[in-house]
Amino acid sequence: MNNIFKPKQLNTVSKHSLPPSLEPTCVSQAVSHPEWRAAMSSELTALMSHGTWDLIPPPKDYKPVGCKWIFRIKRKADGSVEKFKARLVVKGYNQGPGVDYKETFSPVVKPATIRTVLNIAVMNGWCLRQMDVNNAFLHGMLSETVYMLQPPGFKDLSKPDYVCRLKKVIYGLKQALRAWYSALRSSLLQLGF
Amino acid sequence: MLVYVDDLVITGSDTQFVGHVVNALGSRFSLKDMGLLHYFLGVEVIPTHAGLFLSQHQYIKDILETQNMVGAKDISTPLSTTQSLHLLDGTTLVDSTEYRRIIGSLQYLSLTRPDICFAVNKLSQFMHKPTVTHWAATKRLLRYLKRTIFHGVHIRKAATPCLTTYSDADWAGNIDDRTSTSAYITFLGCNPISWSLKKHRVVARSSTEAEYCALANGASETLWLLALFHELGFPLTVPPSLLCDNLGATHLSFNPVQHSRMKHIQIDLHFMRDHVQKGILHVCHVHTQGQLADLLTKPLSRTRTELLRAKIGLADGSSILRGHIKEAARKSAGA
Repeated sequence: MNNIFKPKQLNTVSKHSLPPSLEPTCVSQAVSHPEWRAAMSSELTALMSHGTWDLIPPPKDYKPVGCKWIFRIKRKADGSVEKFKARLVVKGYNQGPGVDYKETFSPVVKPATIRTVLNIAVMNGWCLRQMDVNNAFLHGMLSETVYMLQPPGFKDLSKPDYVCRLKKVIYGLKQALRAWYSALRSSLLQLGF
Repeated sequence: MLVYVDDLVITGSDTQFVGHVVNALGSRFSLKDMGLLHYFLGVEVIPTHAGLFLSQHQYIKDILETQNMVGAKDISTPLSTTQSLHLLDGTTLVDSTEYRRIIGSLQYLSLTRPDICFAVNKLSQFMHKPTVTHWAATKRLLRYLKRTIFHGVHIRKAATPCLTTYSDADWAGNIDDRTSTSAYITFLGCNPISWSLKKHRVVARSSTEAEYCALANGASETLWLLALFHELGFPLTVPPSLLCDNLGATHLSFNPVQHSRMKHIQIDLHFMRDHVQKGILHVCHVHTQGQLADLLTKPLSRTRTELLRAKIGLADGSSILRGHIKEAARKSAGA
């Protein structure tokens, strides 16, 4: 007998199938559920109230970027359903550098800094307040001109070939983070930081 | 104030001023005030009578659920001490997408778990070509996480705020290319603040050399933290100390001799010596038994893992969390 044998194959596929995803992957699946429809219209209302875009006839020599809906079930820390959330995102990967965006850098906090600040707060017995900005990116002003196709499922039937000219930043744009950062920065500076 | 995209945490000595800032921001943006800090970047923050407890137990539970490993048998160490991992070990390759997904989600756990840092670092070195052995090691790590699901960093009120950095290296520990691994962990009082480990890019010819690189890495992080404390308005009075378990490296940091064997790490050498001579940093020797960064450089036995884990400041928060979860359940039932 030689010592050559076939290696044991471990099965990575378990016999218990994974639970089916509860989140729809496209609009056609979502419109049949009232909770997802409500989530989509609340997102659109938020976009409209911020005056995010104008509907204009399609410009020549310019290819508008596409957009899509993302559906997520938001859960609390203990795993219970908090809310159904729909988000309209731009397909930022179709944006061209120099054409649709220029600067994209934006700083984020380092984990070590978080722990340091928490340590200082504990040492001095300070209280920690937490908050969350609703539709953070919609506060950022867009400095470049970007054209976007109309959101799927919510097209203006009277003007089907019109496109949206973006005035504010929306999720998925490459410069979204930077625009939000500069908006937050300027208001913090005004507050005297 | 900490800002992570759209999540904000504000703290300050004056509660009224904090409230004023929150209102001023709220008038500009539509804010959702979530009250006291409880859940930030997927980390649950629980106030205890001694300080704050940071835990990612829900995140671990989610990973275990996606892998159908909630009912798996648990284990007491993250990596096996007897079986070393090679790049090519003769076993068949496995699906690298799934492997990468798990390792990627485990990397995020390093926010509150310095004890699995080494295992995650080791396993991610095989990300491009995972084999059955690596997959089994990943499953073992998940079983370790299942046992220690309620462990997290407990930030306690420190009596004397002083920075201490432990640095350690595992000389020539990578079997495939004989490079070393260096690691450091920084404490403020008794709370871990910053930790990191890195596989070297060049091969070190002596253990002193590897340890010295680790010392220099730890020193630069300590200097950054010093600057951060200064910027936040908390200048530390005691100079931070660096602890290293290699006598050669310790002596080299303040003894102005130039060994022929140390010529090629001159930058690290002069960098360290400069700061030690100015009195900014203080380098001491620590016995291997008291070396806390040991946990970050090599797989250890069960007793040593448990000992170091406790010393590092990772606490079992099951009693804290159980009370917390019960209270939350009672609140939601009452509402």
